Amino acid sequence: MKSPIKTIEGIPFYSEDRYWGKAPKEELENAISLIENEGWESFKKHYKNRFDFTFEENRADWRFVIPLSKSSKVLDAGAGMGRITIPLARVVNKVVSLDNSFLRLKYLKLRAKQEGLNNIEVLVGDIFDSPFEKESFDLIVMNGLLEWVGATTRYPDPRVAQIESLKICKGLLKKDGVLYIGIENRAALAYLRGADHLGIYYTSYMPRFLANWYTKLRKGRKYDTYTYTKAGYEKLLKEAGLTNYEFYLPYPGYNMPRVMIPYTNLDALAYTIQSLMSAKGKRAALVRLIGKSRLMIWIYRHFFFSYGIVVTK
Amino acid sequence: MIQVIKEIIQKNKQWLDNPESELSFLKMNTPASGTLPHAGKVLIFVFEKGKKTPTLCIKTTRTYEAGETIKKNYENLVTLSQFSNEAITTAKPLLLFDNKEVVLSFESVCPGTKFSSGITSVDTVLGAYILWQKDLKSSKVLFAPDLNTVTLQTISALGLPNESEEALIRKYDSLGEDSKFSLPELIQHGDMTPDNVLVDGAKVYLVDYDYVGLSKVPGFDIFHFLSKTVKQTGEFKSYCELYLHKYFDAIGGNVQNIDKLLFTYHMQESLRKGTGTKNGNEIVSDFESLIMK
Repeated sequence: MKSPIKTIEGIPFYSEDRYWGKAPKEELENAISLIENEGWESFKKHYKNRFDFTFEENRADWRFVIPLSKSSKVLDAGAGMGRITIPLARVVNKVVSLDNSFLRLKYLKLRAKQEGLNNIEVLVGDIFDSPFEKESFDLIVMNGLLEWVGATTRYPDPRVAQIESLKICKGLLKKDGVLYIGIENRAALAYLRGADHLGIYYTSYMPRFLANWYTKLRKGRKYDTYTYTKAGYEKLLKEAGLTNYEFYLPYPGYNMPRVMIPYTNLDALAYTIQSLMSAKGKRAALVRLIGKSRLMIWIYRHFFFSYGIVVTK
Repeated sequence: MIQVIKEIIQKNKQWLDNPESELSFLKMNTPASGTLPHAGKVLIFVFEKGKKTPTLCIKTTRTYEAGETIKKNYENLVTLSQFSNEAITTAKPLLLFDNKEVVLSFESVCPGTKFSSGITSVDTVLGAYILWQKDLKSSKVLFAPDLNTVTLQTISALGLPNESEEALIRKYDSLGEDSKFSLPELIQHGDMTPDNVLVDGAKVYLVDYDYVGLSKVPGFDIFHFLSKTVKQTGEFKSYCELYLHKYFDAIGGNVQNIDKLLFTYHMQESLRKGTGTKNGNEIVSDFESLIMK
């Protein structure tokens, strides 16, 4: 493993610190100070409904369809505040948490200590500055990361950056290791009523050149957070030399995978709609109606919100 | 975990309808499962290619430490499945697995779709349920329960301050006596919510076996099911009276003061849900407004 550029508060840096997150940096700084000075109870009370999501244990529940064991070594790329790292660390040998933001990792480290988990290693860096030896991991997680990889300044073309990041992951995986990707579907119906990654509506549906032009006009920056349809992801993976993959439909979404439905099995999707989803409400009634027709289910599948992609090396 | 599951199925191909079938795996969490590492269950359904319903259901937990839940659930299923009949059917228990890293329970899958409300469906479900319990009763000896003891124990288990406990006991005492009260001890599902009832035509299936057990005050299943289905209509008590009297007739019970029994069920449901920040007077108030109205 390469040597870090520097180490601050026990956290090694392999690239410069770049804060990201929905909460302003100052808010997280204040929250961490509160944890350090007054403890977790004060933090929970003061930041209720702000950082509660970091305590949820079900964010990594896609893991049940992945071969993992007590001896597995995992890289959580884009680990953020530890929503994936913490639940995984409870069931594997070691989790290495990589993120651009020192502050978010500092929080993660405090959480690990609070939970008594001493098998978590945190380091500041991005996937292009990977300090790890080849074939180091049984599982690499890119949950909500691949779409942001294109925002790097190293490659002018976001798609090329994404392919390169996948190639790096392939190199870091042990033989038969698994890369898990949680990511949106470009054609998701949800984008009719919710903004794309850069906060603008409908860019996901647009041709790239148009999305780029529109984003520059609205935000003064290029459009570089590419998502794809299933066919698009398959092409991307193949270009990265990854040809063994399975798609799942996470419901309600990849960030909260309460149900993981095998993509290729329409019967499983129909069963989920008819027998597992709530029967209450008008929306549920509509979806249940769709569930009665195989053609409608086939169409519905194309507009699902997101994918969980299990790629085996 | 998935590799362990695949190996076990490989060794037990007799569980499948077609042993050579291509399999796919669907994972879901129970609704209660969520924010706590050791809470809730995770279910993995195994589909054989071309089949509309899964063949197997595997239950597990996020951590090994929480595996006792799965063991209890499996033992309860073993108990309950012995009492399956034409009216009510449960899953078939297949295997309980524990390798000190993970606990897995393998069972067959009940067909059917989740219950959705409508009085005809309520009647279908409770009609089948009453027939089932009548059948169970035929092999049981009548048991004369001490309703007062059961109720006081339940109130005590709520863990409320003394004044709240006293308010609940006062209410219970005010509902009069039932000197001839008698019910047989019967096995109950214990959590008969609409989500745990699957219907396939006239066939009714019960799933989720966390709370299965013998009850000294049977009828809670009916109360609980109705509380989740017809409470909103404001006719809850009349539905309770209708179905509970049919039920007591079927199982040979003698209940003359149903109000007292409804209060006991209300205490049992409060214990199940937790009382939150409510005090005794508020729980009594709920009883008056939601049940006795």
